[in-house]
Amino acid sequence: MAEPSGPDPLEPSLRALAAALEFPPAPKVASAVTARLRADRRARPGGRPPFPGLVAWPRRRLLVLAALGALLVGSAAAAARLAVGAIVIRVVPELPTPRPTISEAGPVLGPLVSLGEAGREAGFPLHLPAGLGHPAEVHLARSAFGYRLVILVWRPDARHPPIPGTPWGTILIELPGTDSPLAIKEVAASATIRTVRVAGARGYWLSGPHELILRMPGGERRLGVTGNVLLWKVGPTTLRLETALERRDAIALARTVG
Amino acid sequence: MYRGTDEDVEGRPLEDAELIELARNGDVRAYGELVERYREPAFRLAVLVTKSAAEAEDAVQEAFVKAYYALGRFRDRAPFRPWILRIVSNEARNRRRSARRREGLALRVAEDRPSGGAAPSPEAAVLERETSRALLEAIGRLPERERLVIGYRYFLDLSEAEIAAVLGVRPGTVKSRCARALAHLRARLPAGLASVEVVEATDG
Repeated sequence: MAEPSGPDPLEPSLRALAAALEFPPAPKVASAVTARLRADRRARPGGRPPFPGLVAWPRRRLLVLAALGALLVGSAAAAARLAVGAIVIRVVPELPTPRPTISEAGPVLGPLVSLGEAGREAGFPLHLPAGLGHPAEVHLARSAFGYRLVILVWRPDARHPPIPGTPWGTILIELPGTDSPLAIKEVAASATIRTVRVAGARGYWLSGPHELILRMPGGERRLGVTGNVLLWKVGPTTLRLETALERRDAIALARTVG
Repeated sequence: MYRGTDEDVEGRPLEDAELIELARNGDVRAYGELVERYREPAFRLAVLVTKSAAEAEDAVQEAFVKAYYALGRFRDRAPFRPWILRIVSNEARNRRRSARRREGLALRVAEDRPSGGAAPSPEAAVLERETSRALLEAIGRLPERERLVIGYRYFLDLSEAEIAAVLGVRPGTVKSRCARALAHLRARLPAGLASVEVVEATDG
């Protein structure tokens, strides 16, 4: 095919289209990428970087590096922290042996209470998703630092398939919105961590193997997680939704929380 | 913003080459700054390839992780942008092959004209939007290799040399592929659109 000698007559229209085009907003992936890299490095003996040999560093470069390290310890560390309210996400090279799921852990998670009692005792506003009906069980547990946490579970139905290894279709954990880490999500480096927006609030979507570590008065309680998890905040409450739904459907469910 | 602090570099952001050198020596935070710097073109490219914002996000995250481990093979003084975009492109294409086929481009034409330039009359604005929509639709129906070369050239504003690097072909191939894509695009446009373009081309 003969090539056109000058600018193509379509070019002005293509330029106009490019100026008017709306791309979806680019997600902020830097935190998730660096978290995975740090986890990989911890898995390497001696924590060596993955590159063959260290470059001989000129003095100026060493000065830059040292100064940057000191400068960034405070400000950038906060930016790199993956957390929603009282829940912190920690990426690890690989997870230890499988832990019991939340349903297998049972009584450790606190006594069964009525929904009204949980609402009165929690110390923060409880939020329930619309369309799921009354939860099958409500647990009220004591957390570290004197806080409470509320665990609500629903049985599966046609729209909410069972979470593997549990009798539940939806598990919702609600904690206060404090920045004290009351729960830690320990995520394998192979898992996906994605920033999401739930009704305008920033949150995280975790899919793939991970563990939930609850900080209880008697120590940490590690639980295996088999579902997908959405973390976000509503006002002063931190929410953790575990489900077998895919991300879009889980976010749609989370948006109904009122 | 990642900034240098000794007397030679104080007050300015580090260059790509400096961040790459830091990252090569295991400074993950420096690499995070590179990710932040290039996430926008990387994501846009991935959207063009996968036609899905969700797939594009996964592809970009994975590509940046893979690129970190490939930094040892990055040529000193080469531009970082085409190099990282090539990795993103490969990752996105792999994901697109394994995903179900999607129609459309996951993009839309803005209702309002972007700021800058004289505002067109209401009739011209409507015509311009309709032209853009028809063009976008036609681009979405092009074969992938032609769709991508058009998208890279006009939507991402990559140079021929950058497109060649991203696609792993010679610059001459980009030129001929682009010419073919434009010819096919014209053939797929609704009748009468070409005359609208000529009028608009002389407005400017």
